[in-house]
Amino acid sequence: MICKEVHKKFNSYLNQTIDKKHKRKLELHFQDCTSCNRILSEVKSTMNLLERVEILSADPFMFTRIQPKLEAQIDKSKQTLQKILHPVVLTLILLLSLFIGIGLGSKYHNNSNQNDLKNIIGKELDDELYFNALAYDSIESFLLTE
Amino acid sequence: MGELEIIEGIKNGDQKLFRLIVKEYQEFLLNICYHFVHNEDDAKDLTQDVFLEVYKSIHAFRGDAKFKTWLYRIAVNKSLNFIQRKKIRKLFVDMDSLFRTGKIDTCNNHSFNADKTIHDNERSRYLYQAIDYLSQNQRIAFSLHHLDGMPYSQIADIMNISISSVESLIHRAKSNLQKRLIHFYKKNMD
Repeated sequence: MICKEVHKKFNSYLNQTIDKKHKRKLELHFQDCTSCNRILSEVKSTMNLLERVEILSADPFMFTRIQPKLEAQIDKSKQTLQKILHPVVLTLILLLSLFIGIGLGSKYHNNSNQNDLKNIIGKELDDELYFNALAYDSIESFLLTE
Repeated sequence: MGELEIIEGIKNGDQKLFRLIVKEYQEFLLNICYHFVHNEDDAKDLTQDVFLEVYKSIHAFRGDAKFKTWLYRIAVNKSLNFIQRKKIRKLFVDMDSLFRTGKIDTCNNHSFNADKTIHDNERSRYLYQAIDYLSQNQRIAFSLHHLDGMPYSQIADIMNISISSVESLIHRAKSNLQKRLIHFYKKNMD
């Protein structure tokens, strides 16, 4: 059996899924071939390390290390909330003042402007006045009456 | 005080109760992270990150799964993200080295002389390198079973798959690991 063939069957040999005949052939090859024997023993030794896994022990200062990060995280979440809340509140105040301004302004505009114009031209105001004010009160007639 | 009461306390912002959780699970999480990243310092940093994530998302824990299983999932996800980031960083370093010197820094490729005795710490390095080549699912199942000694049923809970799928993943992982090691030793002994 040549090394190349042995390498192909290594895995099934290690998993013990190889038939007896081939197993015997491989074992004979391992006795003669130091290179293949070495590979086999290294793979076995490496896989055996799984039985002796390194376990790390607990760090007694773990919480002390975590605590400042934890507090920073809490502060950060508060800051994030503030970052969102500030512009929202400011926008709401701005919109509210805008609506109050428009409301008050339109109320004043309707009452005072219409009354003033009614006094000047002595007529009931209608929409036409706004578009054709000269027809009611031309500049010339206004100057003559003065 | 029961675990659920402790969790409720943490949800209300009690840091003293969180200290109990850290004390109870830190060694266990440290080893989970270590068996994924194979570096003690990285594992310690990751464990801290896991606890910070736990504190941040404890409100999301509704008790559908066991608390320990929930912790495992966070630790595994954090570890896998870390490995992914490390791979990307290494890729950039390799590219940088390639553009600067025309060669890729191959300090991670260890070779040995056939006459030289291989020590266990070297073997474990080769083993971890071989584990790194496994697919993500095979790696999770294999590490949790062989390195953390977890039973199939618990792994199935963590990975949200059936027990037979876990068995199959572990079997394939072991076979792939052996193939990788055979290839590695064969290449370095020639």
